[in-house]
Amino acid sequence: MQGKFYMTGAVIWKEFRHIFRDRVSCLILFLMPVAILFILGYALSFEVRHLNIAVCNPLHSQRAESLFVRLDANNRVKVTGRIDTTADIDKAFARDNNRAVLVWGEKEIEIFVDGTSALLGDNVYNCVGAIVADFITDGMPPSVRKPAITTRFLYNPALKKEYMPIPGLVMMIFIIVSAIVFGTAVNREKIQGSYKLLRMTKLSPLELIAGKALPYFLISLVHVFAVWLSCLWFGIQIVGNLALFLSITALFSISCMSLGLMLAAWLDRPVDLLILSFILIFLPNMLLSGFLFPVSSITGFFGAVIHSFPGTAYMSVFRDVAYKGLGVYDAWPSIAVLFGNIVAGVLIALPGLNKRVALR
Amino acid sequence: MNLAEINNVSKTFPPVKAVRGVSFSLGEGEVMGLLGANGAGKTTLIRMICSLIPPDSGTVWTAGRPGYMCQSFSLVEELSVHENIRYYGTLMGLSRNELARREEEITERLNLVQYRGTPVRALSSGYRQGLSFSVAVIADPKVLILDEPTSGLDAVARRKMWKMIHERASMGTGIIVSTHYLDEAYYCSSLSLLREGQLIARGTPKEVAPDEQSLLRYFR
Repeated sequence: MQGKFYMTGAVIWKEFRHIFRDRVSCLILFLMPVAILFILGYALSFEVRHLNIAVCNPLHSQRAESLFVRLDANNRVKVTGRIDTTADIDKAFARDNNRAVLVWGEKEIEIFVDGTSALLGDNVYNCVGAIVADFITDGMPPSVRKPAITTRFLYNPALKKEYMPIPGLVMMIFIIVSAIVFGTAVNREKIQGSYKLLRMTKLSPLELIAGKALPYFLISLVHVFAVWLSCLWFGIQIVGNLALFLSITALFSISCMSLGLMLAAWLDRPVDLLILSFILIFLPNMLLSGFLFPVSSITGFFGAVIHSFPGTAYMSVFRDVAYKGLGVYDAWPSIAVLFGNIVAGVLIALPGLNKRVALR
Repeated sequence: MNLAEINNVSKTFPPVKAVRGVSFSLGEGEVMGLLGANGAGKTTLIRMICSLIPPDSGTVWTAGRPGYMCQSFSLVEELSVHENIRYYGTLMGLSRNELARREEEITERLNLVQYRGTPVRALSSGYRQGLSFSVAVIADPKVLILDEPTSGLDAVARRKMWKMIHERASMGTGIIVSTHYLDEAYYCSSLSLLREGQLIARGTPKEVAPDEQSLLRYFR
């Protein structure tokens, strides 16, 4: 009986050694819980914080100014700037990540809400609407005629629910096809040993990667076309420049491929690649891109990290270019993030590809 | 005339000194067996000769780009015999006409004519090894490097592989074969023995070790 305890003990001892000596297993065992805790900790909240709004006071009303002060004092709302006339509403939505524009008119207070995300739109409507309603109730003398509150959803006036999931679903398809499938293909080439033969040809590593990536990119163009078809099918109007939108979608596809390449270059086992692709690419982009939960209001270091994800950038571009009709000038921060991901992915991948060829 | 010259080559993967000051040359038609226990530095040395990794010090020179065949066949298993030949031939810079000629030659020599359209994964390991060898020499390299080419093959397939190696050597190609089968040392025209990254013996099999028992001494 004692012998069996010793034997079981030996298995336990071996398993611990096995885990701690395999860096990828360690990464999976210890990084995954932390990643999930952080990701879900930030993501699993429908509450809207740091909601940016612009205000407009064309009549220069003192009461309007009091309302703006009250809005800014609320810890969920931040007044980011002013516009002079209602003609500038689109410009206000194009900057400072504004989710609403409040206009104090002669007879009514108009709240213009970005309707591209139905979920966020509802939240903004409830939050700003409640503050304005409170102001009217207790911030204005009873003798003064109370203005009516009117809410208008821009870019998606009917608050069609289809507008919300489409960017996220498109992003999900590209993450799977361009990042994970492409990464698996590079990994397979390494395992089969054919990558070594390729390295012995006159092709440089960059030319090799380009040759390997191009078919996946062309296939992803079919998916880009499918994105356009799906928009037609669901009755989603692309009000912006279609060519620009599709070009940015193709750029997103390349940035996903660079992420897949980065992991494939440094990992040898397909199972490690799949698990880490899920943890490091799929999960963060799904949960922290604003697809399922509002994250645009997360600021600081984690806000910067979240906004450096290609998924977050693409979601933003999708809404800005396709739904709001913005141009390159307004969407450049997101385009820069996509380019940055491509450069970073390739730069990290290249030494990995060289090193792993040397070791395998 | 020498086809490859390896001069005082060293490589360290900290903290391991994988190869330490190895020098030798390879002549025309020479079949040089690179022998050593696991971890002796054979694979690292081969990869430096193939320019897959740079040496920390020393120089490697080969007459042209060497042909290379590694333990895992390196063929693309999802592609057919025809497609693999075309793929690697194109990568090695062969013209369309040259490719067609080489494909016919290879498939006839390996009895693969009827399997031209068959995916490589459906072929037996003997056929795959033969095809892999043929792909490695598709561009007629002057130097051919074979990293454990008979690993995992049965006795008949091993014999066939050595026949192909000698045929190639008779055409003037200088061949470096790494192996850990001691009996295969005697199929080579010269031997280089590595231990802990150092070249400890170099010469004809008779000079280095007249029989397997004396060869074994180097591995102890």
